[in-house]
Amino acid sequence: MARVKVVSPGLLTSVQDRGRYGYEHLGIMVSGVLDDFAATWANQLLGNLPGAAVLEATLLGPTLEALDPGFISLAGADLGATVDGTPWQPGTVRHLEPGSRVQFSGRRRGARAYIGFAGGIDVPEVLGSRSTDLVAGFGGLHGRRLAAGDVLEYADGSVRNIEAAAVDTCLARDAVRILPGMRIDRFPEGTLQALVAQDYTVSAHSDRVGLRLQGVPLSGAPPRGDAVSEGMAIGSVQLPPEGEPLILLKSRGTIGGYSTIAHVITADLAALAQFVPGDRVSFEVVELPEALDALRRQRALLETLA
Amino acid sequence: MAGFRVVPAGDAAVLLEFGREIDEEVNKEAQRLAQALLMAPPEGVQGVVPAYTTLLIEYDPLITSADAVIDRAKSLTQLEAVRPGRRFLVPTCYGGAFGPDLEEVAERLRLSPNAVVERHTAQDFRIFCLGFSPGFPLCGVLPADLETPRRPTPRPKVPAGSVGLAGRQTGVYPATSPGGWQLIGRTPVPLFDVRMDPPVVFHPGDSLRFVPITESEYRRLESAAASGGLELEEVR
Repeated sequence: MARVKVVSPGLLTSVQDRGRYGYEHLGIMVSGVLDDFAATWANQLLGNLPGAAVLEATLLGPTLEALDPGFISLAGADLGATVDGTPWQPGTVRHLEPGSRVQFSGRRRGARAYIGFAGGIDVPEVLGSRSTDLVAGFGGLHGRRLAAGDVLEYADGSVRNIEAAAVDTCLARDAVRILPGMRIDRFPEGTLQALVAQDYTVSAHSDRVGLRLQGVPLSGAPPRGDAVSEGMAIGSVQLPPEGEPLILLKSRGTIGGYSTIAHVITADLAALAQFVPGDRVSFEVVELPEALDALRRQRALLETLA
Repeated sequence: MAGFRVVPAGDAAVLLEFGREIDEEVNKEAQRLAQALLMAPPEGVQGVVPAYTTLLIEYDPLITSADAVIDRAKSLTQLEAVRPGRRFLVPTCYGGAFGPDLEEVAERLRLSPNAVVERHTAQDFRIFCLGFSPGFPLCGVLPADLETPRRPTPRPKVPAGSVGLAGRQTGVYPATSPGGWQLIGRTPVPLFDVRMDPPVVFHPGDSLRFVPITESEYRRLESAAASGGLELEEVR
């Protein structure tokens, strides 16, 4: 068993695995890593199971101090990581000695970095998952984001890709690919085209629940309370009456009342996780085969590491 | 046997729509299929979200497909109810600090606070679905003379156990959370605990009858709950 101490937690750092599936019918959100591609990459680098618990760091990374020797990995956003002052590239593994310090000097690209720990972070499973439900406050480490003084334990099992060369695992893209939404028939004709025709800006009010976009409001969205609340798929693009889109992420409530104009394809959920406030976003309508091809290619890329 | 309309919901989910209006029979269809899928989850299905009139099924599109999921759903709609709904009595202390909005609600409805409580405790309410927050039962349908709009501004902190009204729905906050429902009372019964599996007491399809209790009964039940000696019993 190896340990690291949290010296400072960064902006929002939490323990996440692939998510808490199987309880959504009870109103329990999925939670879990927002960028499943990068998190899986971080785990693969260490020979972990793909669903092992990692740290998700947001914009400003944490400062960690090793208490024992052990291996850690990094993938996703480039938040300027260093180990004992030397740059640590995303897509690589580092060995920590007791006293080693992991720090983040500043964001260069993307929003969310994933720090993998050999064997996975050892926190108890709650309802089948080690993910932190940051809204309801359970799971992960004490049901909350990391705080200074926390100690994380990990197994420090076998490690594979110790020599892995730095790879860009941040799948950021400006044009997010969508499929028509399940309630497109509730909007005036041409609403989807109007959505695609403009560029949006990511709002500072975005969080793990949803990515809020700012742009020219689209008219004709059904009024609040008009529709019967229904289950909401992750990646749903909702258009509230105010006319600016909200894209639901993994900390979304399971049931919602706004109408869904589009769905972001599964392959681009990773890109959604990497937007920062102020980024430009646009939408591109694709067909189902293209959506599935993109996902297949993404999974195949992960297989090259396994 | 009522059928469903298939509404594609992206590349990894499909929505089955059993009806358009809130209706007990329509809701039963959605819940029955959800239960059947949960008891024997088809390969690749990751989650199901039954709601008032719909069932959302989420799946891994590289393991299964919308067509396979829909075929499976069609074969399962032939089944009888997997588990009949249960009925619970929910002891509730109305008004005062436990139900800070009772007087205002009563005034708006042109009823006395007692009349609101009488109407709220006079019938069983069906749990149409759980959502909004973990284990939150969305119940109905409230009689028309109890229909109440949400508060204009949500409260940042609604205490666990609070019983509220919103539109023609009623429900109970299982955990302390923000919320915009009009609060008319509170139950001391613990309804959400992640150390239990399932972590909730109520399930979709169960029905609730609210029973008025005094503040001293509330305190007595609350201390019983604190020592782990309070569980809701199912009643006929």
